[in-house]
Amino acid sequence: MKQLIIGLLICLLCCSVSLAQGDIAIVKSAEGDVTVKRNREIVSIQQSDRLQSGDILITGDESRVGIIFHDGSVLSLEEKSFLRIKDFVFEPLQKSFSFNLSLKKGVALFESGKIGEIAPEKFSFEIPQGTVGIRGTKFLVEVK
Amino acid sequence: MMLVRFIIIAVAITVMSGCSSSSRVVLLEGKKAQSSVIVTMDRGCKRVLDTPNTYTVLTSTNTKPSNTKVMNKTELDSQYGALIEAAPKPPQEFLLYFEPGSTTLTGPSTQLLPDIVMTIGNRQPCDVNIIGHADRMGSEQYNIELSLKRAQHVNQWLANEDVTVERTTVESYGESNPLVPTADGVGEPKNRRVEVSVR
Repeated sequence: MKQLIIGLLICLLCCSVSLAQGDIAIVKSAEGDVTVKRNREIVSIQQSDRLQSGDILITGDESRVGIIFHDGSVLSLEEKSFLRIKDFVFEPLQKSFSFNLSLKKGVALFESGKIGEIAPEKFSFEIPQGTVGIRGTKFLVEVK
Repeated sequence: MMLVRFIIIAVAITVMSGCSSSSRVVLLEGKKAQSSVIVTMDRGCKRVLDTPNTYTVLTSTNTKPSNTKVMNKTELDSQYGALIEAAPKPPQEFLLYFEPGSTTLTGPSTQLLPDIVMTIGNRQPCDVNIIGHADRMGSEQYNIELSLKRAQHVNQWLANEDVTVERTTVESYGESNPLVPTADGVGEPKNRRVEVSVR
């Protein structure tokens, strides 16, 4: 049985592996009342759940959620917060990056990951009065 | 390399004669030494925060972010201590190296494997990314294929270990994320790595 599973795994891996569409983050922790608004539905969220581009995260009183995105960036939301994941694209081989978050209310902690390293200009965090961006330090080395 | 950490608070306050709201952006100490954020108001005025534990305030009635203020540790702890504590730890990354042109791990890299298993055990629930990287020497395609094969080799090893991983992905980033930036065509062994990122 184990042989069969390993065999299947190898077959799967021989094809080029790309992430299931829409799955962009894992919920590492969820305390209290945490929900996601997705395609007009409200879904309760708990540890180990997956998030998708477009999701709106909503925390109730005394509630908190911690998530890690596929590029390794960390987001934590305090109680009574309302945050939308506007989009998240992380495809280094295609050089395709995009990461936009929007906090309508509440408190969020964010620690950037690979998009912040590779393409900081593709990241933006909107708040009602403006936008927070990462000031990138990108450099080229050219030896002639 | 940059890892930036900040807290954003958006607070909406409705006052009787209308609506006004304000936000505060606090730059925190990140994992790496140098990090900064640039806060831009909708009308274009900007403020850069580049010292940890400083912040700026934006109000809907103003046209530019406030002057940079310092937040002392006591205030930081009392306002955001719980949030900072509760935030997930950033991914733990392991770098694995191989014998030239092969999918055999070097001795020192083989010794890292038990640490990877232990870290996965300590970070439940977790995802694991196994990422092949290449340097800029030789054909990009060859390097992508070799680094992907190496990543697959690591994935096979992981599949045989007695650990639970929510999801393992095996990828190659090619040349796009070097440890040591180089010009095109330059070989750099430090860039020819497989990274195991435990999130």
